[in-house]
Amino acid sequence: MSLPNLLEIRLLPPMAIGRLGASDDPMDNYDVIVPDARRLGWREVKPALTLHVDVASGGISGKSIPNKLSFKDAKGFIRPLSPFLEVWVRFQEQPELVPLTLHHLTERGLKPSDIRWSVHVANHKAFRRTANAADKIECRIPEITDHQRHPLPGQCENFIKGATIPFGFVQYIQPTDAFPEIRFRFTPASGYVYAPEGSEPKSFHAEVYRKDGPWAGWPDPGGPLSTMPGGIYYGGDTGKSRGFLDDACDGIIDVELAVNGTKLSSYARVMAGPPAFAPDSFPIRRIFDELEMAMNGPQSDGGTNQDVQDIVRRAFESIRLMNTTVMNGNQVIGHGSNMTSQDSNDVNRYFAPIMAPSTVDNLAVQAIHEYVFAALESEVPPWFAQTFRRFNEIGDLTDTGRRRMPAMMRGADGRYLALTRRQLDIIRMASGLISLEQPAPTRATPPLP
Amino acid sequence: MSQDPIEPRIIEPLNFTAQFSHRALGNPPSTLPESAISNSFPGLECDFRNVWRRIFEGIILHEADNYVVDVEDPQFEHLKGRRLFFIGDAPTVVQVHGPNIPGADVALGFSTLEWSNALADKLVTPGQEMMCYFSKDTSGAPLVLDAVLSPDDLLKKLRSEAVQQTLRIRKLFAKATGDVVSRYLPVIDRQLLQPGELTQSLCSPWQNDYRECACYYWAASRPDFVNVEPGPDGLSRGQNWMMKDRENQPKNYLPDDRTDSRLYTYEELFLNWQKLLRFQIGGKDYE
Repeated sequence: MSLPNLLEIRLLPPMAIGRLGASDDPMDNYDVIVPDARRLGWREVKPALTLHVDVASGGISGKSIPNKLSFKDAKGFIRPLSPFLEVWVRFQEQPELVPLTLHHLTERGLKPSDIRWSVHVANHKAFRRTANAADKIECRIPEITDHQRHPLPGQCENFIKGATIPFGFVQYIQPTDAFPEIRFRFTPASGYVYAPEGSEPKSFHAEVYRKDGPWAGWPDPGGPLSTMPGGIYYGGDTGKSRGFLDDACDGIIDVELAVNGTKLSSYARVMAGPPAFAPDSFPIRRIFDELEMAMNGPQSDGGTNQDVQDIVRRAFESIRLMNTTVMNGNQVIGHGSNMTSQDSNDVNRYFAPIMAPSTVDNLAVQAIHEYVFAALESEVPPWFAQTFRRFNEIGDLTDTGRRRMPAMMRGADGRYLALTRRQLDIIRMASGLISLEQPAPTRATPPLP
Repeated sequence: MSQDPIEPRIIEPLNFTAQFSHRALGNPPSTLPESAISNSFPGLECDFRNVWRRIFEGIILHEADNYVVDVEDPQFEHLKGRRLFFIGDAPTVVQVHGPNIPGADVALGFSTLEWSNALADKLVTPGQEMMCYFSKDTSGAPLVLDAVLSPDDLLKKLRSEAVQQTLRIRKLFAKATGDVVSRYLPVIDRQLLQPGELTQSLCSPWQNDYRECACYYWAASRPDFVNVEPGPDGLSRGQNWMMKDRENQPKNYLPDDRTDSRLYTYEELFLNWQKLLRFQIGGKDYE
């Protein structure tokens, strides 16, 4: 009997986040679970099934559920989050994707080495500012068919001769009868800071950059080409870049398999950034929400009370780790990087707290959200849909406009945060409202008398 | 977010949501886009705004502004340096207004809308040509209006003075090829985003922003107010996550004034952030 053909492969997840850490021991797996007893309580972080990779052989030596989670090793270094990417396959006359395994390959006369991987990751932070192509830090590993651990040296024309920034490692995990799935692992870098030669003080890991390179001493010119916000680099008192770099990166991992003369291929995006320091909390507006709206459009096909509970829960999870009296602008303290200060500094709005100062203590704000959540749990439709800021209302800095939800937080446009249009439509659907999409109530300036 | 290792491991090819949410065996939840913040970006995993820079064929937009920074197709050279104001009748900017003195409500400038929300209903028709309206000015100077206009009047004013150009909008996701069940794949297209571009507009080094910004819009990832408990007056008492030696200090929040030696310095973070910064579980220092 002939075997069903392989029609397509996909590399999943299609976007994976590695998180930096200098420990040699990658972070164990864990689950984050909403507790039953107190539904708006802290999520429980529980150890979960962890795969142990034998770095030398590239195979998985075993699996276990750790007794206790440790985010740092015995030396105090953070354990990196090193995501696995799995190859999934769809067979002829089979509607679903399933994990590709050693067994699937063997029965078709294929070997694990018939699968080819390539990696291209880069750090363009200096290039984004200087626009000098010699400031791009790049790493390309063109063809991986073995199971060795491959380092990812980031190279740059403006580096000192021979210097690199290590971006971490990749490894094609050797499939075995015990762990037959086809998987690849990206281990991000250590999280070190790098500097130009001769930099003082020695508050960095290594000197890599030419002291006369454009990134060392680069002044942010302001204007339309600058990042937003501008000046986001180590500059000290001068405001000019001191040429510091990090070992974060992002890029693409490609996988390819030739079957009966047909090349099947797929790719995924990876990125490396700082750890999630509050792993039991999740942001109210996530990259996932952007992807979901880009996939499905701004109108939801239904919103449930549970969907709204999830949004409110995540709002609560940001609020309780935030000093809401400072964010409200109750007093001018510190260097005041909150929305009230930014309203004044950016557009000359009159400085005033957003909410009544006596109402914004962190515990009071938590209590409001708990009340809202309790109503949702009682299956009361979300009555508060009209209190949200719509995406085209971010310019409304009147007292009423600034008090819309989500309050006190900054959006990607630099003004007050609005949910994605799709998130807001989910809330609208759960509320039973016909529309929230009427034109923004921007009032026209009255004609001069 | 729990992972059941013995669950049936099948995924519908058209279910992109499930594929983006797929936790490969052994991956913690914070490896997924569900853990990554998408508002206000200076120091975190990526700056998602960069995915929109090449959303129109032939031009490159600023990741957070309506400014055309470059062109990839010479036929659009004349658009370089202009600002994109409208896509059809959909604005890319809004007027900012509010009080400059108590009780007033005056024009305070303009703000570019987030690309994600501004483009959301345009993305559902990839490949479609759209009439785009650009500023006459090519200097990149910000738009200025003395009066607050209604949305209709703003549209009439800006479009009447605009340079018009038809542009084709791209799909965010990669086209599928071969014997596949969907036209697109759940991965951001290579044409839109080259390696290094998803993180390029973040702080360098990111550790700098953990202190520099002192703006706490990412509290679910980079905590601010920790070890919080009710004080004798019923108000919250807690500590700044950047405070040193927290065990031996009272629960009084130290605001960041960039000089207080009781907070970690930039240089201490650059060298030693891994040992200094503490994970938070249940809002408390974990280890």
